[in-house]
Amino acid sequence: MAEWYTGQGGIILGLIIFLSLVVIGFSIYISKKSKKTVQDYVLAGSSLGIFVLYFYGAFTIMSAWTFYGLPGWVYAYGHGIMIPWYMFIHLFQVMIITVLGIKLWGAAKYYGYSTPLSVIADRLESQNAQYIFSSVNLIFVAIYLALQPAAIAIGLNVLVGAPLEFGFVYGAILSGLIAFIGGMRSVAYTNVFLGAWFLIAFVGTFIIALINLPNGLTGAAEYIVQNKPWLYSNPDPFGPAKLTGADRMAYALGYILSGFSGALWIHLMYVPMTLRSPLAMKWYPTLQLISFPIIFTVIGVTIGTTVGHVLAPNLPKADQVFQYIATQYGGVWWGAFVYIGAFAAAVSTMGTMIVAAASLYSYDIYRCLKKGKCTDQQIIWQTRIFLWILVIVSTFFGWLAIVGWKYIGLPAPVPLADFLNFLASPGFALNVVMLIALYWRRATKEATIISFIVGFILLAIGYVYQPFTYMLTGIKGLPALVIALPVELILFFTISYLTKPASEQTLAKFFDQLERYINEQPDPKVEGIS
Amino acid sequence: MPELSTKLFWVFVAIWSIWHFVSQWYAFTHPIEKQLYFGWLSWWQVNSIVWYFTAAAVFAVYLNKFWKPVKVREKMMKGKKAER
Repeated sequence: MAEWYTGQGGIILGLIIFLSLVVIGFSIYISKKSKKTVQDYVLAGSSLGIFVLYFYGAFTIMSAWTFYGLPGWVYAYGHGIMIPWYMFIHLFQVMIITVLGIKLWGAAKYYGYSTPLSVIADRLESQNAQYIFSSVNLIFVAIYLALQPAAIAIGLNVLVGAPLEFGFVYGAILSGLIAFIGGMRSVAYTNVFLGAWFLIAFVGTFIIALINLPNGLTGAAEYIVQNKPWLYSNPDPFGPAKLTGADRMAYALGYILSGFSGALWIHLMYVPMTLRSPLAMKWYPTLQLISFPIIFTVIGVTIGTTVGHVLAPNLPKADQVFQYIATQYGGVWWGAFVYIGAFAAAVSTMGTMIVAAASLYSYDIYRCLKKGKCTDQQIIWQTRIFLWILVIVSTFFGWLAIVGWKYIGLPAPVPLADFLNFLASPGFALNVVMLIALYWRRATKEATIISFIVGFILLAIGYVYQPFTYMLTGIKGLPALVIALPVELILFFTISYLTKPASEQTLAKFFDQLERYINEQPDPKVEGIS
Repeated sequence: MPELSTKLFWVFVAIWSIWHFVSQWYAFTHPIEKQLYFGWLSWWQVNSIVWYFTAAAVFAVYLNKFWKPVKVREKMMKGKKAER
């Protein structure tokens, strides 16, 4: 039997390597424009405009999850729970990049902050907060990050039969290299190119699928209504948990609640800080809110729930559905083009996450441990070293969940979508107290730290010991976040009122002066207004 | 005190957030899995598309016409142009 990398497989592999070299070359070119400062490496020098922002923001959000995870999940479980979850996520995502993230932007532009957690720690007058928030966020970023090389591995496996390990290692190395070379600036500009490829592959496959449907989309939808109507309903009526009544409602509401975390994904908190001016923000929500229903609701969901069950019935692994349709009905060359689209989606998201997560260590932990006595060059190199550690850890975690699941006692491989929906997203939701602290003067460091830690502990117990929420509430299938989030918020507000607020000087800095700069007295020089 | 436009914007955000819970309740109590629009779009898909497009319009109007950080900078740009 021929090896997977010979013949057609070899040509496809050659194309992927060629694309990778183009992307790396582009990253090197972009990195030449860098000023070699931490703010430039981590925040692209706070210089991005609306065009780059759209591709950078949207394609940081649209990852391999959108490409393979979403069609796969709705193919298996139906879309009644998935659609409201991501609607909620997207609403809060556009807000963190605009109306909620405006203070982070102002802090970067006016005071020169390089990471969101350094802003929040100074607002709370607590370096310990920076260590705690960074460490916990690193855990959840690593989990979400693990999804990306896993998708690269699965796609290449479906396409040419490459061993999963090859895909894992290749995807991890490429993403790491892009981030290593030029930091966030390279990542942002590379996303324009990768995002365009993603769109062509995603839309093209949808069109090919429509052409190949024997009775058109209406026939396919009618088939689902007749044979599997639960795919259109809500949620999990015949799915794995077999939930009914109040249990079913609690599961659905708890799941949607984690959508609240859209404004709290730590790597998205970096995005407003990379912008040149709020003028770049004014069209972003509209662009995202128009393009996302087309990409998620129309294309991704229709392929998974309607088209998939007609053109690719009874697939052994649901996550294969998109790639299977592309390869089977578009031919192997289109399949290769689409795989590269998924590859682009994974790499574009990984790049942003890697730089953001590595700076959580280098800027928010290492720099503080050195009490600020380190040069920009030292911090950049710490970021570069740590990003490789993070890439290795995340890739190994992804491999364990997808390939080595038996070794860690899992009953089956983890579906791609669950890395985000069930694991990382609820974790990011804990950041809510940090965001409130930016806008609420009365928030105190004691309240923010204690409530955050308690929320994290409750969530972690729910992850490790799943009957935990059932023991507390008597409701089956209730996500741990439904307990952790209200407890965290109650503690946060109660302790805030019982403890002493930050000093007048700090409050003036982060409220009066910063808000005046943002809303009343901009500095035309720093924002390039001429 | 926030301006009326800002208050209205946040009321909209609150309603759009609550929409999810209300629509979940509706979906539980009605046989939505049998409803198709244009012959192929499910109830949840249509619900989502309407929700996104309305939000897109509201954000466009608020951020372009009423949001202070943009307004103040556009005013400044006009001033600079007039100076030249």
